[in-house]
Amino acid sequence: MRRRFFRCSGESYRTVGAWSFRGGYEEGKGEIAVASEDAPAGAPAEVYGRYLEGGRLGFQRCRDCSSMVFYPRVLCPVCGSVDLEWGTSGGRGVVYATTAVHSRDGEPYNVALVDLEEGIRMMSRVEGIPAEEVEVGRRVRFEVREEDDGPVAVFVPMAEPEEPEESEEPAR
Amino acid sequence: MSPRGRAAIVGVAESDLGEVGPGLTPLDLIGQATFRALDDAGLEKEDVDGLFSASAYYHMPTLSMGEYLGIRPRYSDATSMGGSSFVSHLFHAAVAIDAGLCEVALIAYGSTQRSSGGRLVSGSETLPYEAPYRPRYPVSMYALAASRHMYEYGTTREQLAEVAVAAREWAKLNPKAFVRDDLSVEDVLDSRMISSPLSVLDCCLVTDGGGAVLVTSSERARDLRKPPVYLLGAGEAHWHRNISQMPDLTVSAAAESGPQAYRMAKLGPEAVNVALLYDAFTINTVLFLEDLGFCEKGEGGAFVSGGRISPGGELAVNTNGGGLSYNHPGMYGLLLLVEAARQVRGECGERQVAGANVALVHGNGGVLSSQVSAVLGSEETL
Ligand SMILES: [Zn+2]
Repeated sequence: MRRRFFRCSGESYRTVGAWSFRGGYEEGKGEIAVASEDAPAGAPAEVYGRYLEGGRLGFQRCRDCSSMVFYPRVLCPVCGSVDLEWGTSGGRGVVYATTAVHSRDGEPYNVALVDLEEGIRMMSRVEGIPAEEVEVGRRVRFEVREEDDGPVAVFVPMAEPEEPEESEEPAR
Repeated sequence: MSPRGRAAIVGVAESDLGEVGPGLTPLDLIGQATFRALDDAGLEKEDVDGLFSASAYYHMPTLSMGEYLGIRPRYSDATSMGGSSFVSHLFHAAVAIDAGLCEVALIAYGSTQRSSGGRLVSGSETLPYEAPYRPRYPVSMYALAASRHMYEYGTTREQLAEVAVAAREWAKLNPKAFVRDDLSVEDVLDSRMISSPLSVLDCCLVTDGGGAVLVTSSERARDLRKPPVYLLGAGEAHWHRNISQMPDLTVSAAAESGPQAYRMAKLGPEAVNVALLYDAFTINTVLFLEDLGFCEKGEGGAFVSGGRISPGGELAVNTNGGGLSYNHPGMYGLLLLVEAARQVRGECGERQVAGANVALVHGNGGVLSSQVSAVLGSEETL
């Protein structure tokens, strides 16, 4: 089955349940090798970076204990298995904790911890509203920003109240 | 065999504190504190055969310290877990002494953080998955925890400010406290925001300073100058290094280290006369009071309000004025031990807690990461 992998929104890419997976770890290769023909391969951080370059938020799932793993690594911190597979997030999350960082020069900027629907938590920032107005519990959606050091995962508020569900069908 | 009561603190001292001026190095402060602690204990430098330290300045701190002081230890431990390290060193020293690996342990620390520019020398690497978002280390991490605690339990900025006010009230009773001016809840709320909800007065001081603690076996301790302050119990735990990996931002690993220390000490929070809790930020005191069993989870904000942890309140917390108002030289854990030992000895003058036989010391390191608890007691608690 052929899937489209790289879309810029990071959203509504073909999902299986709430998340999608492909690729995996090949024993004896000494590095993460993702089986799927168009999946990124390499060290965990490199794979993550390449997903981001493709506009998507990659993370791992343990094939043995089903734990979601973020940040990327070479073994599951829950059960110790090295059998991790890569998946991409649907991009929907909720702000778990938030702060507005003030400085003497410039506007305050947001730093947040975001819980994604798939069960991973990451540090990021919420853009599109003033930093002080980002609230715990706010529903947010993943986007990618190009910065000097490369692409960065950020979040923007989702319309409240709840948006209608997006189509499960990938654009094809 | 349980280490309960097997080793004791026999000498404590601070180095010069506050702003020591240019020229003095962190090792100079360690030298000052060591000399004073030896005098406090009635020991000689030659008696020391175990060295314990952690540092943001010296990559191999016990080596630097041994060389500077002219001590060739037979046991050395540079466990590095941030500000909690020194409470951990006390635990490790007690066990090493009990095992015969050394007889007199010197735990020492020094920092010239204020005189060398006022910036926190954290020596901390940044996780690549956090770095792009430029959290201000470490305050933003504690701010995130505060935001979550406020969301889950309705904790308010006013309640956090009460922690700073209580610390200041204690500091007024401590001649060595760096800041002793009046402070109100409104002052804290109106002060410059650093990383919301934490303003500058929710954050610890940036000072120079250091200290030294001498530990030996209980047998030897009884022959020395001052009454021994026994280590009754200790526990250490860490569950994460980076804030994005902390399982629940409202529960620290003190919920594990505390009960471990109480079990070993064969007592609980109700027996504690004075609590020295690592208050790098106001939210710390709230979290640790909860995690260490002084109140239920979520009730910390109410617990600290209305002067209940101030002088004359229900529980004596951070009687030296804490990292918020006394001194916070980069890492504060060693100074917790100094104050706890003095309280148990009854040497604290105006701020002395009457009948302080049991002191709880709780060290925090990293970003709510490392948690180390120790219960200290006087002779009559054995
Ligand atoms: Zn697993």
